[in-house]
Amino acid sequence: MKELHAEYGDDVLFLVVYIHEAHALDGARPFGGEDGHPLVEEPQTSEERGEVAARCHSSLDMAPLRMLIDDMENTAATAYAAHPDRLYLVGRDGKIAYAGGRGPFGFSPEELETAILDLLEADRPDDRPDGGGE
Amino acid sequence: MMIEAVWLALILVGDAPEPEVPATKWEFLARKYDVDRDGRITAEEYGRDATTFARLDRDSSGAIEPEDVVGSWNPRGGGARPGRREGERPERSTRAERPARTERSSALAIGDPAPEFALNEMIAFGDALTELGAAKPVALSSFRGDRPVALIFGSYT
Repeated sequence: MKELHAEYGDDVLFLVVYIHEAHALDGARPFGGEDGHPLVEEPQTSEERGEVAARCHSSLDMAPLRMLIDDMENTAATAYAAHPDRLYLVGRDGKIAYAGGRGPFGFSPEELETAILDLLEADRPDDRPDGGGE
Repeated sequence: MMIEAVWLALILVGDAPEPEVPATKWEFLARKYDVDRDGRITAEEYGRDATTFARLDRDSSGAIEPEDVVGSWNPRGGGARPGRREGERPERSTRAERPARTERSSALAIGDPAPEFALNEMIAFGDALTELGAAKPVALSSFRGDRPVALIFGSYT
């Protein structure tokens, strides 16, 4: 994702939205520790979620990607059917330009990149400096 | 230096020193909740919600014990179970159990208005990343007309 940001960050705003855990150690589908996954309890307060999000951002070296934190009602995750993870592209018109599949199998940065290229191409003004176009 | 001092203090106090970073689910939970260090975590020690306690107390013994939290969720087998024994082969999933690689169970379609949200942002202060509760939440709609926005939803686990 950082590679996409490096390539398209001037034209597209990349926002990580940190949502409720996919595999909290105390959840219904626990990962953590012996299997090499991070040990994380499902946050029960916004402060706890903020701490875990900070660990995630640091551990995965996500800078300079901006990160928002979903509220404890999981408003954004619900509205976007985003759990456990998912990619979207929202156009300047505020409409969905790309809706990725649900992770992990549907999580495709390659598809997102294609969607970005398509959107930027569509946004490009017709009077290009190179004089192209029929 | 500080880590060494803490290490020394733990040795002097007695009991085996805990690993600096918990490596297993039990180590994590025991460090946080097993106040009397008796190798089991009671509901009183746990202190969080009863539903989660009951989920962790897999054998319903009334306390969370190491054997309750061994192993991880198996997406093919369903439900948490102890880790495989050495030499044991993984179960093969059936075609019906495997998720489709092109799954598109999205509540949103291309052309739909992107649902609005206004969420707090993580702000970096040098190497420390903290949430500014007092900061104004960032609204998705604030970017309309400016730039497209790529949304990356996910969590650490």
